[in-house]
Amino acid sequence: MTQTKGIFPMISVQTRPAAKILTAFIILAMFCLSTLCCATALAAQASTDPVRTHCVSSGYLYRTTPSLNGGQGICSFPDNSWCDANEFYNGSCGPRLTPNILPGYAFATGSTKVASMQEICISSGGRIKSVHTPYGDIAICVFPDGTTCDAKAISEGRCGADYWTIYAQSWLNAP
Amino acid sequence: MKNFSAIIALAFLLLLSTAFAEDVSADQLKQMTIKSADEVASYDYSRMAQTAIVYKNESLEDGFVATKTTVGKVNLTAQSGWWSHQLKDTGTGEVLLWQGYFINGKEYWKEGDNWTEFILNDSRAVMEDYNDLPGQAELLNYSDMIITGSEEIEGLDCYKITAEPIAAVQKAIIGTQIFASYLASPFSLPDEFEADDFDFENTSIIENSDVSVTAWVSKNDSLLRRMSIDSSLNLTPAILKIYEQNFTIQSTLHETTDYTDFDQPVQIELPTEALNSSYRMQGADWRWGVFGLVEP
Repeated sequence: MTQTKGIFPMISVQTRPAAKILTAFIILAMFCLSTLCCATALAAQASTDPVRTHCVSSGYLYRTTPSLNGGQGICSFPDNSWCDANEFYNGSCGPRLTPNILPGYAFATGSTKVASMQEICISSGGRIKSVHTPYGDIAICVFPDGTTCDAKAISEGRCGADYWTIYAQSWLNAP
Repeated sequence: MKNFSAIIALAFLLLLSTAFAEDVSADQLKQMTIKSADEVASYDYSRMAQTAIVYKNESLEDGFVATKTTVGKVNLTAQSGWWSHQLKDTGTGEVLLWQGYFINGKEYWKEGDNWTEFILNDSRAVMEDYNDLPGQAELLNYSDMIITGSEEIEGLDCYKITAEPIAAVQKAIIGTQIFASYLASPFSLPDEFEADDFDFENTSIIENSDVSVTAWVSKNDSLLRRMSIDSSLNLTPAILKIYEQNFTIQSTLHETTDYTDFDQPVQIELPTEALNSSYRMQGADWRWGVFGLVEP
């Protein structure tokens, strides 16, 4: 005797209880596997360029190292801390700021909140402006008093410093 | 005689008023250019960039020259954009092609013959990237600029402007140029560059680099019509904090962009082959990096 299951109409299975359990297990495993494959493929697609580009264009180094993060891409910061590249892209992980370098514009010491450059700029009443350069557009924050600070310098707490490498360090990870 | 003097005086006043009518301060022109760039509905642009890098030390003299030409269209009404880059490695004669489309909230890249469709988190930001003009107007805005005279561009009477970008922008350009120079270099990048606290020798780098901007803004509508950027750098051992006799890396970059067909009908259509996109399997050729970030 055979029976056709509604969810997989083309699969015929035996109705004995042990066989039923085994079949159900196999079907469930196949379903999970296919779901996992799809999710992995989607994650791979989603993490191709925008994730890497977001890390690199933010001035940090994108790396894949077998010994770190299970070989998945990481975005590493100047203090040698790092985030999973996808988490950095999603904004759920970011570099540690050094608030005392930029007291007026950064979050208080001890804050666990990860503040993006946009958050710091806007919370200070500033506006983000995209400025063309022959090497690609850069973002600067224009504060209410008219002073400006490079966006990367803000995110690293080095506003006002002589920081020639702030964009250039991403070239260590050149395409 | 009285009438003749009156006519002369009137003519003088007319000339004077005409002269003042054309007069505009640099700050006023900055604001007008920003406003005009924000109000356009569509435009085309073309850009030519050329870089030349010379490497020298005691035993070696080498060089790298490449050009990158770009054409692009932007339709802000339809929220769509397109750019096409062609990079030519002058030394080998190799040509690399890269196109980008932003249509219906989706972005597609064509690299060589391969298409990739990107999953976008923030399509508004991507459209801002395709909208090339405001960033150039902001470069003028964040520069010390002087109106040096008038010149015609494509038959349009324009203010000619020379400008020097603010320090933050200059540092971004020169700092990137240093590392971009090393992409084609026969010399390896000094290990110290990876150190957290490494920075270049400030006085030497200022003395050995220059960034200048020349722009043309039409008088009738304050639209940016042409912008040229020149950046030159002479990397010396002092800048790099290394000790090597007769070592230099000289790098020049020249870029000119022309903007045309403002508010004219623009058609940007995605080729049907783009829908057969596959995953992007590898990064870009390193030579794109000589002209900056991988993104356009």
